[in-house]
Amino acid sequence: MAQKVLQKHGDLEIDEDPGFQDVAWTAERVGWAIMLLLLLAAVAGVFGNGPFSRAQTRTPEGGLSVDYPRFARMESADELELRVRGDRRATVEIDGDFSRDFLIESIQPEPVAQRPHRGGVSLDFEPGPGQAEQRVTLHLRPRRPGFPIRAEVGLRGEPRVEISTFVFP
Amino acid sequence: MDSVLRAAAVYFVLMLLFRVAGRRALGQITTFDFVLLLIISEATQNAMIGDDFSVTNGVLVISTLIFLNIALSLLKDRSRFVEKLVDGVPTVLVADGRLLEREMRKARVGVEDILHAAREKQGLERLDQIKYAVLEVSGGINVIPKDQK
Repeated sequence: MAQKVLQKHGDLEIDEDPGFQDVAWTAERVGWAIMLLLLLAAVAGVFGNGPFSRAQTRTPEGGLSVDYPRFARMESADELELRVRGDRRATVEIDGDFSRDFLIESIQPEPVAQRPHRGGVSLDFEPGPGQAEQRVTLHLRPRRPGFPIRAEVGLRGEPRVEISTFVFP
Repeated sequence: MDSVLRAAAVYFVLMLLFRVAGRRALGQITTFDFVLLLIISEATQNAMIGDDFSVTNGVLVISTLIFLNIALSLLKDRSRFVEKLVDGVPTVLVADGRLLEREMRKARVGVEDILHAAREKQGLERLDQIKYAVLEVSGGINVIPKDQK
């Protein structure tokens, strides 16, 4: 077997490689910068749970506003906020594979009725006396990663609006 | 957002606690220290992870901790004060063969600890063979023997 020739640094037999070491040091510093950017993005909410991770939309007729997570994480608690205008009983329908993609942990306040609806759910809400608007919070937990997961929300018989959530694994 | 903030909070709280506990706290790990360390890591995990078991959260928490460590090491390189604040300073316990009682008492180091280090690292037998003993920043005791005549 060929004897490995060791490099020398002065009297020291050592496998130095100054060229490689310089490259590695540079790479380390680039890595630190990337880490900093990643963490700043995380604080902003790009990976869920931050100011940048929320998005708002409303149905074309304006009867329903939705505040939903644009970025979420799998198996991590999140929220979907509905604002239903009008002082009468209203039915909110969420289509798509909503029930399969999200675990609905709780709804506050509770709907007066809840039915399955084309892979999603249909929720009936009744406002208290004298209320012109209802705010409802759905506590959700994404069940699978999605790039993104799409669903459609709307009031019964009205046009839908699409919500899409990028779910990190 | 919360993953980064949680991890940062835990990092600084732990740093403060271990700094206050003193160097002897985890310098030489006894069985009980080891168990304590395990329990602390268990409790820390809950504080950092909460109920978010996603891979993303894990990556963010780890990145935060490592980044803070790098940032602090860079800061320590630039500022002697920060280095003292975070790491502390070495303490001379034996000078020219003379025991410094006050330093030993404050640092909670006994004569037997110094002899232990002397036997372990230098193979010394008696106290009068020791010239210097220093409690290092890392929490270990280093012993410099007198010149043998």
